[in-house]
Amino acid sequence: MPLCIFLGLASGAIPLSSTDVIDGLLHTLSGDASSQSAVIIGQLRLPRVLLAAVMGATLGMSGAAMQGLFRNPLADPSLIGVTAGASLGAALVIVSGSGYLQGYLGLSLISIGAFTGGVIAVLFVYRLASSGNGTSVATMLLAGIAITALAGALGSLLEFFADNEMLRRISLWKMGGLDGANYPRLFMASAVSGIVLIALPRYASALNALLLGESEARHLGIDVNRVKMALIIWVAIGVGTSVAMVGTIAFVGLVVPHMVRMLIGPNHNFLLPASGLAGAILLIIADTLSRILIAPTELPVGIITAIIGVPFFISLLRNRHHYGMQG
Amino acid sequence: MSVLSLKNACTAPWGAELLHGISLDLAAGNILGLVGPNGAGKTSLLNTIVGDIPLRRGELLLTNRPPENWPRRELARSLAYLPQLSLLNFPYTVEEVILLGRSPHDTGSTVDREVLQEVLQLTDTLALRGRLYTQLSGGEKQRVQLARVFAQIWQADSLEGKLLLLDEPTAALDIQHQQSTASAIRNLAGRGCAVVVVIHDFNSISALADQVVVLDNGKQVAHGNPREVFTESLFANVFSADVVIIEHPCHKQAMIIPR
Repeated sequence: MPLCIFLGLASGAIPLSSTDVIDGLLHTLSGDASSQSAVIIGQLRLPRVLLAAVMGATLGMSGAAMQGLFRNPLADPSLIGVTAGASLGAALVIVSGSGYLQGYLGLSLISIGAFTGGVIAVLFVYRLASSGNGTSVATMLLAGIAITALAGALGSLLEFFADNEMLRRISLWKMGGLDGANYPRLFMASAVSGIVLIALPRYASALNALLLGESEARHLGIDVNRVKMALIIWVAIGVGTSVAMVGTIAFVGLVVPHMVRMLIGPNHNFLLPASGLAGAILLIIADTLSRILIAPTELPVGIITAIIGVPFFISLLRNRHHYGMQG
Repeated sequence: MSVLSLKNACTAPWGAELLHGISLDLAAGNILGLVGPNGAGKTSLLNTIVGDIPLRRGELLLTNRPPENWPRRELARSLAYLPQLSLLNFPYTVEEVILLGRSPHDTGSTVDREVLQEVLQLTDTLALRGRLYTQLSGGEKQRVQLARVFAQIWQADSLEGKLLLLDEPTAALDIQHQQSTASAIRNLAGRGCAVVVVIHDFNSISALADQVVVLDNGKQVAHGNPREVFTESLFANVFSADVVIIEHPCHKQAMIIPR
């Protein structure tokens, strides 16, 4: 992880040597932004690499929690509708308020729209799946797919009426990227994600028991409905924040917990923190690649994670019997 | 001490009544066999005792307290349920699955490891302990799940006041493990644990249970000692089965043979 951060800081359109990186970091810490490396490190790359770490950790850990809750190793945080809802929220802001969307204020408005859209979609999915007898995970899965489709359709409708400039903004936003990173965003993301990253591991034992089945978890003394609601809320907040800050980043929430489970097994006491760590590393690497592959132009990071993630995911699908996954 | 008491219990989870007028009383250290044709309500009765199906009428007491007066985790330390089917499809090791049974306890890992050792021996799963659960055969999985519910109610001294519900614990087992499981259940009962067990093999029930309840169509049609309850007319009426009943040469309990 420190190595990844270091590499992330050193790489980019202007490659820096390791002494430059250390020099830049020291200058940044001492508040001195006179040298070129200090500006690049302090103003551009450090907030960006740290934002990648925080968002990657949130996505990785949320994915592990969702796969445990749905008892399905192929579940993804976007299944509960949060990503689609957030995309729709962002598109809505972009289309309705195009005139005002300049600079940081615009980005913040889009972020607020995305976060609100994500949370509303999840609450809707959760309500659909809840009845007097509790919350059905299977219904939630189906409701999530339905709401995702609905939000997708509404999003397409918006795009149909949008002009070219708006379309480009929407599609760039959808591809995800960390180029908007700055210290205010980093602090906001860290504050929210920090709480989520502390909250989720508290449900590790409950998630372990839930893998036996909901009734079995209840017989083991776990308040299953409360745990389900808490997990959904934390994941919605975490993923909602990440979509709001960096757009939709594909496959981190799906592939990372998978990879970690293959290495250390499904025990959530280790799986949740390890997925967070691995998510952070993957997103730093993906973001670093996005900056250097066709430098000085940047690729959207969502493209890189999908390009790394999809072949990996397909190989997992083909080989999953080798590590004892069934069903 | 009465560990489980049902008085005129009725349930109707999906509108129509599923169980009507079930009354029974189970003391510490006793084994109750639950028998009946497919769909008679045996699993529903277990689900009612464990709280998955609410009572519509009647009374359910666990050690003289209604279930809602039990704190959640305390109840989990006293009442364990082995369902027929397990949904677990994540590659836990056998040890991890069994240790999940310890999750309502705060006894610490040293005690948990000792409990693990004891239940591994009791269920003959020592050789499986490092294997992945998902790679086990059906019978092996069943023994591991049995070890998990044993671990859930296990404590070092007596098991007085504990209640174990077992839904077909021997269905997938070979004859050796059917016998070792029966003796493990007897072992727990000998230490004070009350057991309700559903087994379709009447000869096993005969040898194992202190009392049997026969269910048919959600109603309790017979209740008592297996020697008295298992009659040729009961098998004809309830199971539409033609059997002969003789005395077992060793333990003198009823032995049921198809005619």
